[in-house]
Amino acid sequence: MVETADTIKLSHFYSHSPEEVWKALSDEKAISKWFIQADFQPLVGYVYTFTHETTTITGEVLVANPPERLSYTWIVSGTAVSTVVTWDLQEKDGGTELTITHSGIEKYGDSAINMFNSFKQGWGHCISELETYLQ
Amino acid sequence: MLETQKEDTVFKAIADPIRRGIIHHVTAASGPLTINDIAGQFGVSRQAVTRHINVLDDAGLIQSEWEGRERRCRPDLQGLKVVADWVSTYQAFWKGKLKSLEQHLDGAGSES
Repeated sequence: MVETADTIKLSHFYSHSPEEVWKALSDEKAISKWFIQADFQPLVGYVYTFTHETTTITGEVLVANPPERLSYTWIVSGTAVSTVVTWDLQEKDGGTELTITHSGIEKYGDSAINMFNSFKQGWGHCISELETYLQ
Repeated sequence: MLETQKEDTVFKAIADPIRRGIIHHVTAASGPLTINDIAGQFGVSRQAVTRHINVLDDAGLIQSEWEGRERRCRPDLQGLKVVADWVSTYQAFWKGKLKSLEQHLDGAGSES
């Protein structure tokens, strides 16, 4: 089925407490280990910077409600429009159900092209490495 | 290069909310839709719909053909795939990251 979905929503279960998952999502040292090189503080209004090679992502922390919800705007270098990334943590069976929602993609319009290209160049190989690993 | 130009046109075409609505509507329909069908659905003029259809047609997101005096529109699945690919790029990215997080958490657990 072909979709032109405006929102990406993915969930994954972790056999770790919401507090542990929260730390991985909000502590800049932890973020830099598993996700992306980060200058980040889980404080509302904090303007963070994520860096991957030549691609920079900046944004503002919108919600920091430990250990339940972390939300920030997501602006890729070379583009002017902001999307929103939200992490929701829910305690479940002694672990954590984590849901990521990436919304507002439809707002990109023209800058979607820049976004697409920078994403493809900067992170494309990162994604393919992960995919290869997962197979 | 051609690939990039194609993406350029496609993303310009879907930048407009009414055009995104038209794509959804045409894709969900059981058969080809006329300009009147679409205009009725969105409460806009035939002229406005025609302009949107022309943009979508140029971008290769919709195919249209004339049957007598009626122009019939259907989705162009190949064009729409470019959009789906873009979304799936994000999906693959986040999926990969969710897996990386798991490895990180498992590693952190065994260290302590």
